[in-house]
Amino acid sequence: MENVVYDDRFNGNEWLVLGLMAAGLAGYLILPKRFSPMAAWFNLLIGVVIGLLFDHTIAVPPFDLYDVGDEAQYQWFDVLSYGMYAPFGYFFIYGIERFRLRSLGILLYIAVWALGGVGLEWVCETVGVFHYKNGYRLLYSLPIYFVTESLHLVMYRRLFKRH
Amino acid sequence: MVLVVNAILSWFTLAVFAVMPRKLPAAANTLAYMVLAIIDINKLSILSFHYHFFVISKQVPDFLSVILHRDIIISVTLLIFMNTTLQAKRRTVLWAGAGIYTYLLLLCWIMHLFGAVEYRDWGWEINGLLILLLMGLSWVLGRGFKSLGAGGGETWRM
Repeated sequence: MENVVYDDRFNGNEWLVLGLMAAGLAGYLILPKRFSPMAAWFNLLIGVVIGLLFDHTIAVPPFDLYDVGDEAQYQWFDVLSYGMYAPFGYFFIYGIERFRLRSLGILLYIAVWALGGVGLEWVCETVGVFHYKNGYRLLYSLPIYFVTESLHLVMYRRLFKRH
Repeated sequence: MVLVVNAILSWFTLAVFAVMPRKLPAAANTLAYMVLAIIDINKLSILSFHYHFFVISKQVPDFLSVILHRDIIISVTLLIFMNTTLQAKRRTVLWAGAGIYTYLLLLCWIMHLFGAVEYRDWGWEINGLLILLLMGLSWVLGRGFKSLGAGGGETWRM
């Protein structure tokens, strides 16, 4: 695979990743705990796993729809960058439990999070965390967010809710 | 061809996992899968796309077979090993471990044989060592989750 170097400095994209991780960690520590340790770990890890599964399937050859980070090649900082997904899964379920959302409320909530996800992805693309190629467009991520957030909620309820 | 082989192996691995008696709750198995997936996906990508120790085929069917191999066959086989170590006697665990180790090596050999993964600066010794490390990690995860479960039922609730 031919490597493409987009940038070779520690700048906007790295700061955004570290900033999101720090803000996520702060939010996690500040918010009152609502989950058991296992449920908390599940909600933290699922975003990382889904991000890895998608990126390392559709963002590598032969599909190669986008690159992550400073280079087309997988870098050590890219490994760290998946940590930025962790708090989002946690906050997503936290909001549903905190506001006791049901039926239509959940649909609206998922839609808001999906749109928020696209918005954040736009920021990430702007600062150089993502580099789309081979016809991929930001809007294509929208249905992915709808599906993955719904899947997250279904799995969480099946695994951790007793009623 | 390798896609067909790996699709059948995926079914087989999932079927064995579905019918086997499991020692840990579904939540623990899911968490263990997630930890193993994070390590296995990063391992494959760093070794192939960063260090170029081996090359993954760019043919779509071959590539999809690698994805099945990575995300289903290897991870679920490690879950089978993890659950086996928690419920069998020491002697059975040793035999099961040896069997699963051989099976995992065979799976890697299949990928190599059909050209889905082409080895460059890579050897079977290091491959075997990495499989042993993953099996060791599965064993540790199993023990860890079991001790958490034994510590109180609340651990697994919301």
